Amino acid sequence: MAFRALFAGLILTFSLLSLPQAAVPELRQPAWADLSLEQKQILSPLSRDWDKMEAFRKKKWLGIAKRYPTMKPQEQARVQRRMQDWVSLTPEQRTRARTQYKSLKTAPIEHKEAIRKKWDLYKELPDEEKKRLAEKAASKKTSLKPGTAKPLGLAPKLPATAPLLLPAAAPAAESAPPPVISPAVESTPPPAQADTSASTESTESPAQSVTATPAASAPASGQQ
Amino acid sequence: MVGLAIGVAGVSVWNDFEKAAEHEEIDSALLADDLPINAYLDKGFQAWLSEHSSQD
Repeated sequence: MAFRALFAGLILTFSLLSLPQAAVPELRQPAWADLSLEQKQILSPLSRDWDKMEAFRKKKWLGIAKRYPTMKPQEQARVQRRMQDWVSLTPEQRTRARTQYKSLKTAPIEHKEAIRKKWDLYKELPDEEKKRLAEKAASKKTSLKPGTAKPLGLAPKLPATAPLLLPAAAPAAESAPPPVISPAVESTPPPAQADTSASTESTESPAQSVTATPAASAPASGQQ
Repeated sequence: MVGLAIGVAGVSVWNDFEKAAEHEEIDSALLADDLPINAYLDKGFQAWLSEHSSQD
């Protein structure tokens, strides 16, 4: 009896070990040391985190590395500059950024341009004003029931058929902490900030950086 | 029971890879975009846009 149980256990263990590789060969993604020189160069901002990443996240970044050579030099620079910040965001923040990006992507070109100009204007606002707006956004969020949030952005200017820009956060993002805009980040930028690296672009400013707080310090969680 | 657990784990892994493939495209575009990630995340900016659109 004991022999049969042991035999069954051995078969089960063997099956468990071999099944994932057979069913999902992608489970085996390369370690940092196994990447090509080109992949290492492209993904260099992720070198410290790479070996701790789940296989599916490695696969995604390898896919991005594959697309990298087709990007313009300016885009390549942005991708590399933002990689580390991106993995430092919480899963909710990444979900929200994707949702907003998708919304903006489908908007008319002039609408996108308007948002970019508005962003430049917004960056020039005094810190006190930004703080007030952040507090306003936070209080609105708590006063509204889920699903009743008014779409934000430049919606009233758009034709009825146009997609709304920067709508309220996706449901999955509701639990995410509101981004904190801190002027202090200019002097001592924490690692979990989005776009804090030195930038000459007019669209990015360290003072505007989002501090991806609590969960951001645990980049291993969730999709990256 | 074990088979069910393996099945659930397998579906979960498969789902993760599916999402990763979907995110590959959008993340590469988002990271390369000329609008910084902050613009998508900054709720103060969204509140400001809302104020402006209601004033216009």
